Amino acid sequence: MLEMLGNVIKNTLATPATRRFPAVQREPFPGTRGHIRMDSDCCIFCKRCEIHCPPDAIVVDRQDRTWILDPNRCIVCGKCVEVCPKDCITMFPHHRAVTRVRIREIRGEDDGRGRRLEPMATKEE
Amino acid sequence: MRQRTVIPFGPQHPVFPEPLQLKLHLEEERVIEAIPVLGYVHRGLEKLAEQKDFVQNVFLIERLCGICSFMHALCYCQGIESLIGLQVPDRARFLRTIWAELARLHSHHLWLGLLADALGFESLFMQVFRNREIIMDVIEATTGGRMIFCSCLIGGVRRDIPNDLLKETIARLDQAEKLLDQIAPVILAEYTVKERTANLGIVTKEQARKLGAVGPVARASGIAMDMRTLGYAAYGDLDFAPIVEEAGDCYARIVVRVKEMYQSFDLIKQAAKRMPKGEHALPIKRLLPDGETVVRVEQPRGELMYYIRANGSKKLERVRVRTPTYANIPPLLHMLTGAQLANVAAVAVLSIDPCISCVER
Ligand code: SF4
Ligand code: SF4
Repeated sequence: MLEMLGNVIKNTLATPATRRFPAVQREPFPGTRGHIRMDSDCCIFCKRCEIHCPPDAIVVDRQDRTWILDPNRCIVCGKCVEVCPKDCITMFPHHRAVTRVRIREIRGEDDGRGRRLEPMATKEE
Repeated sequence: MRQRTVIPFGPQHPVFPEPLQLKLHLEEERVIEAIPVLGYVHRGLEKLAEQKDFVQNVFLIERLCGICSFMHALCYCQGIESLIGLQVPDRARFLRTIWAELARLHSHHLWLGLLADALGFESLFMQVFRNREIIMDVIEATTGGRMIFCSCLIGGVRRDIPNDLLKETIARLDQAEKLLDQIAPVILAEYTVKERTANLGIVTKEQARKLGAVGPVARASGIAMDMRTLGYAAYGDLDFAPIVEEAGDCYARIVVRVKEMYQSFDLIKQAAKRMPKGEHALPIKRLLPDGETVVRVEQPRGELMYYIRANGSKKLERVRVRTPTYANIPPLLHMLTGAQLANVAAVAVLSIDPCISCVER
């Protein structure tokens, strides 16, 4: 009986075990694989990420200087982050909403001496 | 002659979210015969594994199953490592053990929660899932994913657990173990649970052997069969003994799994204590698998077997997966014969802890 009373008091005063969701968001842990982003500024279009990506989510085109990611195919395994020789793909811990939109990174032409003629662009298509 | 009715159990069933269908032939309320219908979620992963190269396959194989993804990757990596003759560093062996036991813990928690829910024990379900959340957090903090660990690699593991994180992990697991101390007696000693599960779905030792039961189902029938005793990963260096119960009924299977949860906590602590220093992965540059091999590991549900045949190229010739639930379906059918319809879902089916996405690959 006393034990029960103790439990009743404890449960009345205790806060819920769950988060008050919309107000309190769950923060992912620092090492979580959430989504990847590519910085087209340093990409050399070597295609290594395309070759290693298990579900073929990346398509790199050397001629067009484009790097296209299909987030719907990407399983966020982090293989491309590991293999990129220039370390231009980064893993972020937050999840992206599921989307069919593809991310296209285009690097503009430069004049061969490092000066950029066209700005780089990230397009979502 | 009494009239027979056929009731399809599944593929959609509130108790059991996975698409297993059982055609139950009933005579009044009693099951005379149960016929399983499989193939609702067949994805052709074995075929796909022949088309990707053997390193990419690790990521594919992990996605065979959500609950025991790490075990699949572990089993596959061990197979490839034996084919290319690679010895995994010691630290990687211990890290693999820790993750394998974490996978077992969260799988058994899931099962216990579902069982409590199926028995109508809603509050216990909530308690178990609260506890499971601690384990999921530990998994996410150490591997980067909640379900798909992505941490096993051919030649080692993909990321290290630094020592301070390891300490934090153990502290959190202690917390979870304390909470389990409150939950476990409830399910084991509760009168209604016993009343519903004891003497139900009995599989004797001989029957279990004959029907090819594996894992907790076999161990609950008195067969001391645990693949961890083979000593893969770091299990050879840790102290443990398979947990065996004699009764062979549903209650014995509950007891085996609950005791295994405590065993997992203990194994993780042992592994953390003896964690060797050193590197956690070896490069596999220019090594290609050749020949064929069979690997077995102990999944939360029982023995998992991989058959891998390679021909010295990047692509494998054949990958065959035999999952524990597949082996446990004949014992399940045996349990169902003669059971009451009301007990089918809650007790008989859940007591083998089926995982259909594993079975159908
Ligand atoms: S591996 Fe890196 S540098 Fe090479 S194409 Fe991919 S993103 Fe660009
Ligand atoms: S994270 Fe994995 S799946 Fe996603 S693009 Fe990179 S390699 Fe491909």
